[in-house]
Amino acid sequence: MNTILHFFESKKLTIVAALLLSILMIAYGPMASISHAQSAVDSSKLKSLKEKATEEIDRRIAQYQETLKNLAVDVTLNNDGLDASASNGNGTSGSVTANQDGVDTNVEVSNELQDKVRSFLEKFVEQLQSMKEKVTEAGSLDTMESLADTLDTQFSLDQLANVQASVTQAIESMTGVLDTLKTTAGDLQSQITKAKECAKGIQSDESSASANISNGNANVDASAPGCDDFSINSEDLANQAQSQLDTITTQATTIASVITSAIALVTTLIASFSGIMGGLGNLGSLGNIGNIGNLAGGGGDLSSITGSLGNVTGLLGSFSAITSQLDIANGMSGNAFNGLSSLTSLINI
Amino acid sequence: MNENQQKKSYKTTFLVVGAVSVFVLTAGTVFTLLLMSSTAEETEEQATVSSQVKNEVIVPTKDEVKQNLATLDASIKQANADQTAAKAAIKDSTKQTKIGS
Repeated sequence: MNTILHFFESKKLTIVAALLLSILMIAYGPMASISHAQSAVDSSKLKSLKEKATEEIDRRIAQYQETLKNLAVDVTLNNDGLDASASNGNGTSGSVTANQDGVDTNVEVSNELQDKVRSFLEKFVEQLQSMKEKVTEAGSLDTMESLADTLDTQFSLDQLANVQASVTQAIESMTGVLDTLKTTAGDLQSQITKAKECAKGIQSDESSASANISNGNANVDASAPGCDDFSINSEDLANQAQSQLDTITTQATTIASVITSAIALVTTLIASFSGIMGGLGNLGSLGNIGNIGNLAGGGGDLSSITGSLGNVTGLLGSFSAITSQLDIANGMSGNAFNGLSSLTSLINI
Repeated sequence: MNENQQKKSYKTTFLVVGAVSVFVLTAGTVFTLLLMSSTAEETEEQATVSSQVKNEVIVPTKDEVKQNLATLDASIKQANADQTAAKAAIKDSTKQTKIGS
């Protein structure tokens, strides 16, 4: 017994140390498990966030590239030289002309305005592509969460850039409709004028040849219509046709007014958008849109963007109003097309 | 030749010269008027022909009008498509999927 007591007495320190070590080892197991589990959760969350962010970035880029593809389709107008141009003094302008000749009114979206919306959207696509790289490279959950917050916050600005480009393209297309409408109405007007002269006996030619000189060469067109090509054989019928065409001309003038108003509004809205971007300080200028992404993980202040979101919502409402205006113009152009079609059948044999 | 015969000779010469002068002047005037009238008619004819040619050139045929109508139809369809895209963009701008917390 004494021997045993002596043994414990002599190894007291060693035994205490062994006990402490045991306690520590027993405690380490759960702690290590907890830490490992936490790390696994973070890793899973990071992966999930990366996937969601990448998916959203890809969705936005695809959507904006589709808009850019539509913007690349230019509408060629037969308009004569423009008489005047309306500018709001903010670097954006819509060239708008309106003379008193009704159907001759020229309406055009300026190249400057188209270039501006295209350039904005291209910069946003570049910025999103840059952000996608950052998402791919993000190594910690903190960095990834910061990137996700930035992506969420800039959603409205991204979408607004896309909306203004889409609406500008829709207006541009309507100028093409108006232009062709004017050309066709002009064609029918010259046919009616000749049919009237035929009915009055001023012209009595049969199908006749026409001559024109192009590049010094005289060309004969044997297909030009003569009096016998028109089904209008009385002044009354000619006047009826003229009355129908006058109605279509009035519609064309209204369409021109609606488009002119839409151009003026979109010009102002795009200037406001530029103003919002300018309000973001260094982020605001067109060339620095890419810096929006630098807010994430760089200790940047997202409130600079969120502070502008109220204005963005207001602008979206205004763009929505423009599309409603275009709905009216589009409906009228459909009616005008039907009128021109039936008039063509009425005049020509 | 006595004085009376000399006076008679002068008178005859004067009358002949006068008659010739009147004839030349009248003939010249008539010729000029005829020439001017002919030129005017030619100009008028040319103008009429020119006008007719011009009129013939600007009056399009039924096929040309139909071609423009087809272009107009295509323009309206394109405008509809672009407008639908614009509306979709506006609608999308209100549907945000939150990525972050």
